[in-house]
Amino acid sequence: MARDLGIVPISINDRQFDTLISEGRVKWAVNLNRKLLFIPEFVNGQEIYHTVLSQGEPILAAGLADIVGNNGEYLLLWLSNYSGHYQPTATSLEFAKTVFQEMGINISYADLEIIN
Amino acid sequence: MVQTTSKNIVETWLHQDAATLLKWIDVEPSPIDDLIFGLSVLDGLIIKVDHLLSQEENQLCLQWATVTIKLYDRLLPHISSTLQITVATKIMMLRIRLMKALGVQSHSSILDPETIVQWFQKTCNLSLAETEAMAQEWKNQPVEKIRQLRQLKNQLQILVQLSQIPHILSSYPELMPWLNLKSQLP
Repeated sequence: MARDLGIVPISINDRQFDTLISEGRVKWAVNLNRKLLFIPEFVNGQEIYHTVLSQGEPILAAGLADIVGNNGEYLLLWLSNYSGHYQPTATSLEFAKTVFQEMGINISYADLEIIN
Repeated sequence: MVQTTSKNIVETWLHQDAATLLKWIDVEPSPIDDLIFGLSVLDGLIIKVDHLLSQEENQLCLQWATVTIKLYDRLLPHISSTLQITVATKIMMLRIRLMKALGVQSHSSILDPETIVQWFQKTCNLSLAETEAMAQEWKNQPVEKIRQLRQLKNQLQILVQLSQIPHILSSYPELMPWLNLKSQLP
């Protein structure tokens, strides 16, 4: 379905990132290469699943995020480890927070939501 | 991190019939009081309802949608307000997909658009005038205000989908000014 909708994971450096976050919350994953990837949570009212981010491969962390901003200035409002597919640990969320920061996203005001 | 074995437990639960699961949700204490398990079952149920809808198993689809919404109602008090938005969005989007496919129906527990409009009005904690003023220079607002505006935008994402159902906006013209604001929000 995601393929039909033309959904491909993108990184913060991709041109489409600003459009992606302006549409709403995003799903994210950190893959085994420590790359932070994003997809929309919903497209045309249909939820897009985390497996699209990882193609079913193992990942280091995953969840949901709410990010605002544009043109390289981004503010993380909310970060969660909620993923029905992977059920990530609380520790993985702390790790993800550092990866978000490394990518230049301001995490100073982020609410962390740990599902455990 | 890989798919966990609890996923298999969830799948086992989902192979039961709808009536059995409905009873299970009402049991005290319920297994869904384990939040991760409850949320996993909810996600599994949504996938099941979508699958039945795609197979045009409409009656069965509505039965399972009833189970899904019952579980959502049961989970809601156990989760934080931010996560409530995520879970509510899943359920409202599911309702809208069903309305788009099966048509709207007044007083239906699943297919009545009034449920979504009331949910929006109940959870929107900003006035239209206040939102318009704040949205103009949102980058200069305190973070808590930006958070409120963003939450509103996430809720409006649902109304955008609802508005695609024929004649909805003529039944609920009060939604139009909110929808027009969406593009100005962070």
